[in-house]
Amino acid sequence: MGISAKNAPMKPFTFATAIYESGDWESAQKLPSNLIDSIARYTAIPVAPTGVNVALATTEIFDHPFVWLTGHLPVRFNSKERENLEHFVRRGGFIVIDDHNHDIDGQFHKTTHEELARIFGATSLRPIPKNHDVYSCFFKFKDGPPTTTQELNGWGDNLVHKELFAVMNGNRIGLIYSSKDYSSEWDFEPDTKRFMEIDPTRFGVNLIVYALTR
Amino acid sequence: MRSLANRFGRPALEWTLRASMLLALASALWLAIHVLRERPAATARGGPTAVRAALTRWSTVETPERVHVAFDSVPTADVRDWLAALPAARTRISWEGAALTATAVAVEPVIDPKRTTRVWLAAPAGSNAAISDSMGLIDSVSARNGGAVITVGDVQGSIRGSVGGTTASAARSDSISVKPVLVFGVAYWETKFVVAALEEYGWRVDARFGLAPSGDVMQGAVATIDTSRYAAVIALDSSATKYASRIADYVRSGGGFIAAGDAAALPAFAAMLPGAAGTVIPEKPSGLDSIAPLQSLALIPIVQLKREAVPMESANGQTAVAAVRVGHGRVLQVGYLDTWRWRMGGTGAEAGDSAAVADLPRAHRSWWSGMVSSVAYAPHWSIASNGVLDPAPLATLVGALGEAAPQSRVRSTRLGNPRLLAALFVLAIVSMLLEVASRRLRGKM
Repeated sequence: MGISAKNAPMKPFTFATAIYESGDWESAQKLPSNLIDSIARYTAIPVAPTGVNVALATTEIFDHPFVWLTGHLPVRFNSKERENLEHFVRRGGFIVIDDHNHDIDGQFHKTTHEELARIFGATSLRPIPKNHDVYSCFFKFKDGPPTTTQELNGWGDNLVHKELFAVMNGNRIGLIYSSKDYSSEWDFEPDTKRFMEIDPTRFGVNLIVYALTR
Repeated sequence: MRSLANRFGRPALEWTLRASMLLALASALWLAIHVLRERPAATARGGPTAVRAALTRWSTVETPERVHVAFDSVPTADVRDWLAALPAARTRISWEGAALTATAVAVEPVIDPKRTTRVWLAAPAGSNAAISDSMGLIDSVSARNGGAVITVGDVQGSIRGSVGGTTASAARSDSISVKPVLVFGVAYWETKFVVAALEEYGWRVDARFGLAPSGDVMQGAVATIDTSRYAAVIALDSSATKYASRIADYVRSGGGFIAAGDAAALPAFAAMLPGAAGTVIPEKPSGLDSIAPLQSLALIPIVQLKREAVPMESANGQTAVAAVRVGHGRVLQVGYLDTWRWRMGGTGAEAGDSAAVADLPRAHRSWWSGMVSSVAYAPHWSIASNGVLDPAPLATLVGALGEAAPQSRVRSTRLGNPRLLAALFVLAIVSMLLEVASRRLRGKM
């Protein structure tokens, strides 16, 4: 029996975490549920209650135009992962790659940059200006990307990173690279938000809203 | 004794011969005078330079009775008009040109942000044609089925289509103003990718995303929905329901409307749509990893088409896209769901055609742009064309000079035939000799 078009449910947004062959892709396990909670809390976007893990080497990645990729360990994509990542971005997908080490001298940062240079070209990763849409498409962040407690506490490279970097697909962001370690910042139980004066995941809402609307 | 024949017949015969001789001499004299007064015929062969030189001669130092021109290429408009004017100076014209290529060109504006001009070229099948504007060559095409059609971007000056030695020229007689497109949809992949596809193609897009409980997020300055602002409105889901009456007014006044996906099944738009929404046909997951994923998308088939509706596309035997006129506007109902899946597609492993699959975003944006172009409202206004245009040079030549005729088939007058003069002279001599012989035989001097 078919579904009546008039009663067809609106499809929800599904948060996807990228699985890649090397490294520890599952290092921020509470982050998906936290961002899903924020999307449901602040927006009217229908959102699936649980996220999914999708392998970068499979075509499943193309079912989820928003993907989160993180880890601490060296990143070495295999050829299928490289090919899919390039197609994913060029076709209009949006991927956030966040350095869970918060360390520009760390292995994740170095090897990921090498991989991105190999896939998109050495000069493809460019800083995102503070007045970019991604900082204002839902919540307003007039100073650019919000600072994380990891940065303020001097962990990792002991730097406060002023900007995020992007690979552009035309005039849209296709890939964001972050050294700010949002994977640590947002890796907590959603219920904890009620004890916080300012919810740090608000910028995560912006990333998802940007991906869904730009 | 003289016979009756000698007495009556011979004198009568002699009088007849004398009369015949005099008549033949008079006719020959008249004919000689006529031939002396007749103007000569002239012929020209070759290309424009040779014909132009002959025309100059025929219009100044010579005034031929008749001219015959054998063209090796279609003459330019000024040469053709010059020839067509010769009969007014009592010079008859005939022409031939077996090797001339028939061609014609027409130009029309297209409601498209990038490819604004469509060129129609008529040419013999299999011939190669060059299409150019005043800046130079635009494209080369091989004519099939009587011609070729190409759509190009902005053109400078007139368009020329050259086939063989024939060049036809035409210019756009009107221009259009392509206005932005307004898209309504919830913040989801379909809305994002439809907006992206249209923007990447070159359309200006204002979008209203249903996003926050407190209100919608807008991209661009969403303005009043009227034909002075928007070329078309696209509704992708129920977020457009609250604008249904304004969209209906917009369509009746000439605007274009596309109800796609979930919006094609909304009761709010039902009165405007070409048909009703059928039962959802689910996506064929394996089909998306192919080079024709459009056929594999989930579909709300369009059923119970209105009498005046026109089915435009079908998928798996079901109507997938249909159009109908409403008031002064046009409405398109698109049954495909989640067309973004077409764009994101797959790796093409099954299809084995990585180039075609890599082109999926381009196919997706071209398809959506085509949908918008087919309903978009765009005011036209006339533009003056500069220069001499010759859209169908050979047809115009036939119209101006009449059908082609080889020189051998051009009829000359009997009076101009030199054999006639000789025949008359022979007749006079023979008559005279016979008359003299008859008289001598009778014994008369």
